[in-house]
Amino acid sequence: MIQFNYTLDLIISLFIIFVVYILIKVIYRHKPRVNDLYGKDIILFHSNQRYDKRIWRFNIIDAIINQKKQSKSPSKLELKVIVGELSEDTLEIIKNAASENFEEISIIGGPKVFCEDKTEIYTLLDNYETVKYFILLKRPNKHFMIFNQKHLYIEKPHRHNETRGAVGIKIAHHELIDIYNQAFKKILKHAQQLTKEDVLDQKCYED
Amino acid sequence: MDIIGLIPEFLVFSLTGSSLSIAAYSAFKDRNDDKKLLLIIAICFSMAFLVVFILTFSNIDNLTIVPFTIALIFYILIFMAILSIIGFVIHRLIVDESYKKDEIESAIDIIESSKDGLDSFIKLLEIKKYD
Repeated sequence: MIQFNYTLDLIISLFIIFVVYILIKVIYRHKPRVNDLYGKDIILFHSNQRYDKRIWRFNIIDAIINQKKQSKSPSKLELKVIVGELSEDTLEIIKNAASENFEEISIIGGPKVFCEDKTEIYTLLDNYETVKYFILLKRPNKHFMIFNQKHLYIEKPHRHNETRGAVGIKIAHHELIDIYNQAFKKILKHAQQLTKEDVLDQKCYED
Repeated sequence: MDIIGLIPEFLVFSLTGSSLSIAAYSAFKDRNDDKKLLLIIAICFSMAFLVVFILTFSNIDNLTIVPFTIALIFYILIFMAILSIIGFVIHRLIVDESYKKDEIESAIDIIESSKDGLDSFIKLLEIKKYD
């Protein structure tokens, strides 16, 4: 009969706990190079993950609102958006942000929209004065969203009638945010603001 | 306390544990770190099965030659099967890990190409404006 040896038992148990701990550590490991350069959490969305992209952006808006409630800071909530054309998906995100009291929402879009979205854009501009809509003479090929100077959402370049992958960065590095902020400011200089009445006369894609 | 009496229970627990965690792994749709945690749980369970299984080996030394050979074949087969399962689980872990790495890399590619293209687009706008 084997006699129980408590020291040996303890050593083996500790060793096993250590091995499992290391394994868990390995799968949840932090990626210093990536995280320092870009941001805390980087998520890649494939072109077919339309629903995931939506949910991610809705969650970001919720997180910002919750954080504001907790910290009770008086700072304004901002949302900056550059899109090819203000379409259904983006409209939903913007509506959500506007209804959650984001104080400054600026959207820069290309010269055309989808014909069926015009009334929606009109309603949006009619309901929320915080939403400002600008258009460029040329369709922008770089599309991104800056959520309250903190989180970034970058889309892969795509044509107006297709969807591509995108990347979401939670708590992006401030230098990265700065680059996009500067670009947004520069592009804004070339953009022209549209009122809700102008939107109805905007050119549109006839499919 | 007699450890031999506990062996059947241990075998059942570890086997159900490992199969349940592998089943949960395949049912998990999102490819994230939590999914890989299930693989580690599966490894723990199958290792536990292996340990208890080796323990049962102490029972067969008083058998005659024919039952002993048959038992030995049974042991070897089960051993190989469980080792292959562990190998498979580790392989999945490595594949998942490299998939994650690829995803991060292509995400970085998207960020970099988008960042680099910003300036050229702004220049294009400037040229158009002052033409």
